[in-house]
Amino acid sequence: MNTVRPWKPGPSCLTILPTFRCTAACKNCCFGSHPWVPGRIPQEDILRYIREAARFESLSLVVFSGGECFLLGDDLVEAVALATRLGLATRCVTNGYWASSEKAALHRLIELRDAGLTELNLSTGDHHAQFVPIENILHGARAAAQLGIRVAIMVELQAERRVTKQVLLEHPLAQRLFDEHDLDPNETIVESPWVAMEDGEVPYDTNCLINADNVHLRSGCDSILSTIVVTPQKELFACCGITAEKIPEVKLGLLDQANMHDLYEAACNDFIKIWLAVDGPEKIVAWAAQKDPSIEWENRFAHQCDICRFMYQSPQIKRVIREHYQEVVGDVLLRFALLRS
Amino acid sequence: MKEQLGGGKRHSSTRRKFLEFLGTATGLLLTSCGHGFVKPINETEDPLIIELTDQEKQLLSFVSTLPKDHALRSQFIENPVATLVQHGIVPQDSQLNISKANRLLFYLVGNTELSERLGAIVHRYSALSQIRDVMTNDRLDVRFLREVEKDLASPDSLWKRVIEDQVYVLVSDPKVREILELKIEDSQIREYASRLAAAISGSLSKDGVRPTVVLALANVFVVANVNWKVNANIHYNANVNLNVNVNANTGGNSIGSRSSMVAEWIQFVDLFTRHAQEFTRHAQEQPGP
Repeated sequence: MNTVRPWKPGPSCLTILPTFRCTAACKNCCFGSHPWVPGRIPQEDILRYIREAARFESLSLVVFSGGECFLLGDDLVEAVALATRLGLATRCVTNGYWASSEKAALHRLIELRDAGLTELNLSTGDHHAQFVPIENILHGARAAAQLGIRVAIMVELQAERRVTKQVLLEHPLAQRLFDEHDLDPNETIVESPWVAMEDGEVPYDTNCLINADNVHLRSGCDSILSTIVVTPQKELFACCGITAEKIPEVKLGLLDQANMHDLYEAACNDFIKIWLAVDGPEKIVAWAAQKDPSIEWENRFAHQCDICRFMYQSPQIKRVIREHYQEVVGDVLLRFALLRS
Repeated sequence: MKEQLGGGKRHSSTRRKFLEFLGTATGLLLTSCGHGFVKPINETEDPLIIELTDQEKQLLSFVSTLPKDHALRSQFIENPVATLVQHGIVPQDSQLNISKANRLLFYLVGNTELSERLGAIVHRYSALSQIRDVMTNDRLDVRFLREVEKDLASPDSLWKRVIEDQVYVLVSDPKVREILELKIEDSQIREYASRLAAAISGSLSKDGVRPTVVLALANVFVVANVNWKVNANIHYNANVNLNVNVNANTGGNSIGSRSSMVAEWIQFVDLFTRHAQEFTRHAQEQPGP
């Protein structure tokens, strides 16, 4: 007789996208953010979402991204403080527009540090740098390090670019950052493919392209069902994927109409999302292509989210999955249990 | 003077407020005309959603208890499907398939002693401490892979030695041999491990095993082990491991909140199992002495 308690899943991270408004207007921004996008989540709703999410026992982190979350001003400080009081780590993702000097950066970060901010994540690259100088990024990073806030710098990766990890490392401000603080440059500055929102819009670095030779190196999606995202439209997403806006299946519902916990629990009953967490879209697509060799996938995608969008949009892949997923269901569920145990 | 990258401009407070007002007004106008956003897709005629059956939910609940129940885990590793049948999770005539790789995964992940022995190998090779996390997801570093490929071709390859050490630790464990159905005597372990490691390193070329796949295995071995140590120190520390899988477009995710250790073991067992089985099959195909 089976007396096993029902499996109770939970996310580890809540990401709040309070607005899609941004001081930059990067081409190919996944949310089409720019300075003229109106609207934001009302502050009382942001605070309510944090309290609701904190009821997940598994939750450990709240991320504020966007858009540009620093446009919230004091509301951001209040939200960080609430998450901290609830025992959660916090991270702000920003383009660093506010860090125009060392003094300005410190001024802005001190109140966030006092509110409990755990990590600052600065985005740059050729696209971002058209709107925010890389000096801002380094001022922001130095101020964060000085205040004891963990810092990470994300650099867009694409073919033929000017702003690279190396360019940042060679900058005098970066040299001071790493001289003055015990930071590992390889962990602090990370490059990641810039994803085309439409096919062919971004020239990918060929070294990053996914194919049968390197697909074995790819691992499961660490965002799906692990991170839940609230958009400015107060919609809940099942992942913080760059292409999530174009994948209806990861949109769980409107938080004005349903409970966050109910929406999440329903999403956890979808085998496809579980499979994505275990194997990632790359291996699922490669598996499907073994069943149907007409699926053309090699050397077309660099980023996991990019190939995930492809998986969800390809009628051939969807057909193969529906016809053959039973062959892998036992193994996938076992691994998911291990990943989440 | 160093050229300043980017074109950020500063404005006075009044001017900035005016520009913001102007921007918002223009934005409202443009948005009302449908400009500005990446067009969201809210519906699909054919959603790819497969609801778990009640039996699959039972299975998930059951296996979730395994890591915490040593006796049950051992029973499961011995015979997964029979254990599931015995506990009423699946019917007697179930077609459920549990792979060798998954049995090995459950064995390795809960096996502190074996993991410690594998992790200890990393400490013998100081050069390996430089490569942590370089091989996962978006940080796939093909240039680095090619350096390893070059190293593997040399007679005094660092990577070959590492792989041999690791394969030996694994193959000398009786349960690993049993799970993978490696029928070798104790006296043959050293030689077998050496040959398997050589096969993995690409010294034994074989159609169907691509050099880059061999290389992948070499790296996953090391990365899995290094991360075992790293995550032990960092991952459980306030969940603020500055990890990988960065989302550059939104800058959305630098802290790895997943169980990266288990994820790397998954890669590890898949590749190791496949190579061990291919090597065994290859050895069986060879004429005897």
